[in-house]
Amino acid sequence: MDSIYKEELLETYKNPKHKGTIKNPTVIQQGENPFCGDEVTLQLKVEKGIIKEAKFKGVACAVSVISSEKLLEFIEGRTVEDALNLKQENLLELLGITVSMTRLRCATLVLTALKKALEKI
Amino acid sequence: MSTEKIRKDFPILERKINGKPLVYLDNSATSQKPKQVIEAMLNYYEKHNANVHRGIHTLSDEATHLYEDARKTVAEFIGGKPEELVFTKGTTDSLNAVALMLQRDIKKGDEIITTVVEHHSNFIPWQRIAEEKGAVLKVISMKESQREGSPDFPMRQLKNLLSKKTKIVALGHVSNVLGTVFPVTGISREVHKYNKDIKIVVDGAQSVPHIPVNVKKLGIDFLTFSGHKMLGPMGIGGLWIREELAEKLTPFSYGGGMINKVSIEKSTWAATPHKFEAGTPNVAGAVGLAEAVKYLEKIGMKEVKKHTQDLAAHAIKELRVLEDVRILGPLDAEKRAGLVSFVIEGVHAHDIAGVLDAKGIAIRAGQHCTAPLHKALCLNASARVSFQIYNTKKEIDYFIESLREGLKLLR
Ligand SMILES: Cc1ncc(COP(=O)(O)O)c(C=O)c1O
Repeated sequence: MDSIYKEELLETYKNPKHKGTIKNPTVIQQGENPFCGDEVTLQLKVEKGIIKEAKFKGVACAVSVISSEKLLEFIEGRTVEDALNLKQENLLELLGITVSMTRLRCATLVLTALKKALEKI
Repeated sequence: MSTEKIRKDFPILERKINGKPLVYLDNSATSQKPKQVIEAMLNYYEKHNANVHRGIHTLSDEATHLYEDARKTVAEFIGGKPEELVFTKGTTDSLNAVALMLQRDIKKGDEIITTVVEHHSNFIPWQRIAEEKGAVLKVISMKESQREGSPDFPMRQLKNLLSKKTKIVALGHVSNVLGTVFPVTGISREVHKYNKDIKIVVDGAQSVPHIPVNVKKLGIDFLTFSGHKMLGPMGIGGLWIREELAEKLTPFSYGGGMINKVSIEKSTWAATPHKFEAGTPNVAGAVGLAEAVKYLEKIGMKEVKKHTQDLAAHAIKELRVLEDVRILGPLDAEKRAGLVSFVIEGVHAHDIAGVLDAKGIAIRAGQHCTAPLHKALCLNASARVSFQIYNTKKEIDYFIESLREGLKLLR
């Protein structure tokens, strides 16, 4: 069962702090999930190998939004290298819930986009 | 037969999901199976299993009879003859087989007509032929038919697209998103009036399980369908090929069981439908599908249609009471088979399906393998409820009530 629909997590979904755009981002990356049509655009500001600011925007379901929020919150202030080393398991730990096989694709959408973004730097 | 009695035939309906009784509204993805089907397959494996068309021994003969009887049952169900019915893995497999056979006669500049509504399995094979052969894929946009009160199918647009170069018209009988039943009989009349050699390929994945289908009345050349969407098992389906064509066409797959004579120099093929079935077939699947057909026939396809259409009408009526709901496809359930897709402003379809799952309700959310249609409708995703003979109005009421609660959470 998707225990994502808990009040505390839904609060995050309704008011994601990392939703938006950055002025003069270092890198912009789009992510897409063709199965459900979810789209996120990720923006990062990187200075001296440190991720200073991270924001996302797009059309996405709750799993995707909460996952983006948790991931971006985690990487802000960390090094690009740390972020590159993040694995699916780490993301799921950050989420703190179990997700079904199908919705794993929603959850990892942002992680895939993040990896692509960092590789461009 | 009462719905209550029918429900007892479907063991899975006793299941609890997340502590709640299962409400299964994802029948267009796959239907559930009655115990008659499950038992027929079990019986086949326990008592009659052997390879078909090969052995002299008793079991092989029994298996062959069961397999060929199944073919007759399924063929007659859609108004065809056994010689016209090829068993395949399902709709996708059937459509790809048709594409493989028809592409041989496609030349550069030839035209294939399809619609934006199609499931990917009735779209990509044609797109690939066009790419590989330098043919042109013409896609009916269906824009006209999306406005209320407009015809369900833009016949004028189709007529305008027909040309001397048109070789294939491929379309679905019932859209798995809009639910619309397209006027295939009228369409094939128009197409064949223009040129009787144009091949008409119909995806019956959503029509055969929901409404009476008769290939002769439709006037088409190919019909494809999946057993698992019509109370039968997975891994079996049908490809109906009009007799004269079936006799003429060269097979698409080669191997055992489909030959007449083989020598080092040359091989010749068995008669239809066997020449289209290379390798050991899915006998248990065929037996299960035939049992599913018998089950549907006992209820009657008119009754299946009425029951699922009534449920669609009820769902549409109740959904429209909710705020910000947009129903995809015609509002008049008479024009539909038993499925309803919808979107709710500001709420992702995945989340609708997610909150309903917590209540034991199974619905579909996403693009339903129809990316071009979703793009045309300017949608990222949609939610879909789809019905079968065992669903009830009460289940729909529970679905609506749960949806209301879920929306409160999500908004
Ligand atoms: C309209 C339509 N065509 C084709 C298919 C593909 O069927 P299958 O996956 O059984 O091959 C489906 C089902 O998903 C469908 O709804």
